[in-house]
Amino acid sequence: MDVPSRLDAGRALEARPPAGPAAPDAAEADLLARARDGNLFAFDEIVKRYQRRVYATAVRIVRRHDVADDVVQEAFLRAHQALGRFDLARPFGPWICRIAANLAVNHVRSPQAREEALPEAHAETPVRGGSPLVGVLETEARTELARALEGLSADQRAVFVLRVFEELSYKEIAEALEISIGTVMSRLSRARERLRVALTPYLGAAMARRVEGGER
Amino acid sequence: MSSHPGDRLSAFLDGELSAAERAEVQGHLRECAACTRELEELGAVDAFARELPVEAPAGYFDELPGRVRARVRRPARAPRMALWAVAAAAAVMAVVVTPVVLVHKQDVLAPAATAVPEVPAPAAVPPATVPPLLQYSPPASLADTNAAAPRAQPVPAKREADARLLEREKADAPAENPLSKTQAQTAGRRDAAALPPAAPAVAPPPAAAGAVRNAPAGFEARDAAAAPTSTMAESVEVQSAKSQAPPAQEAAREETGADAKKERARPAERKLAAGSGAFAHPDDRALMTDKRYEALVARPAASAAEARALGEAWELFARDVPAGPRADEARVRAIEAAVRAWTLGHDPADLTRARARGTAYLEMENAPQAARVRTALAALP
Repeated sequence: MDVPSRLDAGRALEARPPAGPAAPDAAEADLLARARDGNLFAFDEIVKRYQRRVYATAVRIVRRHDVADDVVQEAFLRAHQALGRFDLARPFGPWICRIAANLAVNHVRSPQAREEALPEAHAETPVRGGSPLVGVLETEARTELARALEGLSADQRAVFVLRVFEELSYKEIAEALEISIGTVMSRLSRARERLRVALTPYLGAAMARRVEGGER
Repeated sequence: MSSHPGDRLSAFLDGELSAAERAEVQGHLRECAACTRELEELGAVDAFARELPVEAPAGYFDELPGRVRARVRRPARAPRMALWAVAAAAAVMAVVVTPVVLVHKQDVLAPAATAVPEVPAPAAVPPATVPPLLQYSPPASLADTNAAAPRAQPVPAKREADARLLEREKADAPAENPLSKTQAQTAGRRDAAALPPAAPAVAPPPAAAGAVRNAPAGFEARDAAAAPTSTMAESVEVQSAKSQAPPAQEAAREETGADAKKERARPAERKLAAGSGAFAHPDDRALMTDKRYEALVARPAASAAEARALGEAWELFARDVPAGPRADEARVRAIEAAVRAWTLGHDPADLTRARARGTAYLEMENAPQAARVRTALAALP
């Protein structure tokens, strides 16, 4: 594939791949319906399907396993409690991730969180190089990225996570976090800018890979 | 040249600008290499972040569904400890453990349960007051936006050291429902009561019984009985209301009293209940058994205490699931664990245990894995 002109690249960046499993399948709606009617077995399946995604959302925001664990459990619990009001035709994943993100942010804002000790080691372990060629640089870059994420506020991370990983719209993010769309926009912009500055030395390689392999 | 889009580049990237703004930014990008470069870098930041793996401790996702399920069944309390921390804390617990800790640790707690079966129940747990800081309440608006619970659930505080973790356990039990001293003290036993086979489940009043039909039979009777039309979300309130009503309180006291006796008599029963009996639906029970088996298979035995505990857990498993290849495997593993405990710690009790289990196994007719057991026993003096 030819290296695209800058403008093309810009356009390509705008075109996001569609968010995960967009349309809920019938089987899932059925599971949710049974879970709503009190079938714990069905809800168990839901938990198994989504636990990794919800955990990822939580830990990316709170940066600590133990807190993320609390958030995840709480998120599932609330989702279970609220299933009666959940529109089964809608995808469950973004919904529960929104709940988790909200809980995560609220936890970080809570006085309790401030009492807690300094963050532990990075929740995201910079391991696993893509190819041996980029291995060292990549490891370094990932460490840097983890550090930069650590440097963001939880509010910024929450917006970033919901946008970049869950691919929610600004409106959805605003609703999930109970902030205005303008705030979403500015937090996201600041978060990305900080990450960009921290990662500048490594972004060239990352961009080259993107171009090489096409959009993931 | 138009002014640099600045903050709007990020929104442009996300396709979140109005048509007019979008056109403006596009126009600018055609002229401004710096902004174009910046846009590319912003996109690269996203892509890069997506590549960063998220890792949870080993086995975490095997355990999580069970813990969520436990909380869904009894929403008034939160499981406090990470299971892997429990294993590490086992030795400490054997000394300072209280039944409140024991009760909701289920089958990972075999070491503590077997080490101190006779610990008298709730007196050890003072109705501690929990500092308000530990009680986390998200803003009320959260409930609306996310259609979440009517009452905030506490998000437990951080737990680092095992010792501190135990302290927290004691504090948490009364904190979750600070209605009365009695209730705080019986909090742990109340949990046990929610596990049907170990404890006689609260019998739903006749009026409510009909409403339970749609729920699996093992579905917590407390919720169904007290709230025939409510969702799970309301059961927290329901429980509170119930505990304020004198007759119900009496019933609860009886129930916990009976349960405490049971607990003292057969501490292992609790774990059994949690592992295999919490669901009445056969599929659910099979699921639980599977999980329990897998958890035991995955459980490490790096020290004598761990090996001993694992052996006990396998024995319990074999007792709960007495037939089939898994039961056999469980018996053999119980022997091997005891042998390992002896090898690691040279405690004569482990030696005796290993021999007793081994002999019992070999005495069975057609013991399927007799050779394996003999091999294991060969390691003993």
